[in-house]
Amino acid sequence: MTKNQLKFDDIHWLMEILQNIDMGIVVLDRDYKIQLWNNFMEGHSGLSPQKVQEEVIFNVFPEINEDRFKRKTDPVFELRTRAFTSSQQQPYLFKFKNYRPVTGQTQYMLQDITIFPIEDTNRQVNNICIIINDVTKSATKLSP
Amino acid sequence: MATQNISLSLEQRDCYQEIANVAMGQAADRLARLLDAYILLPVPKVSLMEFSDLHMAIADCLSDENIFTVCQGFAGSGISGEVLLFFNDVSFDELANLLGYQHNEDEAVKHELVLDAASVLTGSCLQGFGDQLAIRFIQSPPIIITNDNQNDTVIKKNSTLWKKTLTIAFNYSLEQLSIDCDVLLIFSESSVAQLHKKIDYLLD
Repeated sequence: MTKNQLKFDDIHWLMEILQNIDMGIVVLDRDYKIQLWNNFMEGHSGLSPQKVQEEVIFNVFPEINEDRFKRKTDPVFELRTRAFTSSQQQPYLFKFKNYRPVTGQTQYMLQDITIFPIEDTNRQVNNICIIINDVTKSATKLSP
Repeated sequence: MATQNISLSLEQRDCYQEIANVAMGQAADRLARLLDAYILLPVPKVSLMEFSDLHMAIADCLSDENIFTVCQGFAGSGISGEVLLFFNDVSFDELANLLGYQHNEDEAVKHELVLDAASVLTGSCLQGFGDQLAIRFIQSPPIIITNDNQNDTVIKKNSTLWKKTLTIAFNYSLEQLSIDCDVLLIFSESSVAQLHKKIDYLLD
């Protein structure tokens, strides 16, 4: 196996992890256009990556308050800090229907959100990553 | 977990102090730009703190109704800790103005406001320290610590886990605004050795 082949395999692995991890991963650019949309997001929204690619997130998800969201992301772009929302203060960012007919106890998926900057190869921050954590189970205090 | 014997030589203290000075200068500069407000340059104080002193300080702040306490964890290159932020006499109106929020009497909105402010303050100072030490610190979500027995029990439980550790204390205040926040950067006892190694490398 050549060195390049190895590298290709590594990237393939990373993509597999990105797609299959049990968390939503979304990458946005400075215009808030969707650059990456993993399986979790596709599964819960029913929207394929092809459909949302390069779409402005506020157009696809009108439930996201643009002003409020931009206030969160400003320091991420400009200060390179992380931003968070907790389901205790804001139950969800993406309005995903509760998908648990047996154990779900809320109408919508409760989400903890982390937003962090992505540096490009020139160390510039032109993209941010949103991690969506489904906390419905812990928030409704159902024992594991 | 065995507690370690942590010491701080005069040279090490000076070195930490210098790093902290530069880091805080950078942090204040970044914050000022983001918030478009003048920030009084914080003067950091480096010291070793006993668990009992820390516990007392936290208990004092928690018993004061006018202080809002937020805690945020961080980690990078095997060096970890928590940042405690004590917002003194916080004016939600002014904080909302500063961060561009619509002011709202809703409790959840107030909490989110303080948590967002904490993330920005923590992030800017961690970045300052990280840049000086070539460490990329990652912040965990901030949490509000309130004055109930549960929190006190949680904090007390740590008394068996560590005795003495390195802390850096400073204050963020904004000119012309009554926003005043005491910050305590607490490294975990187990990461002090690693941190000393980095400092000693700089001193050589």
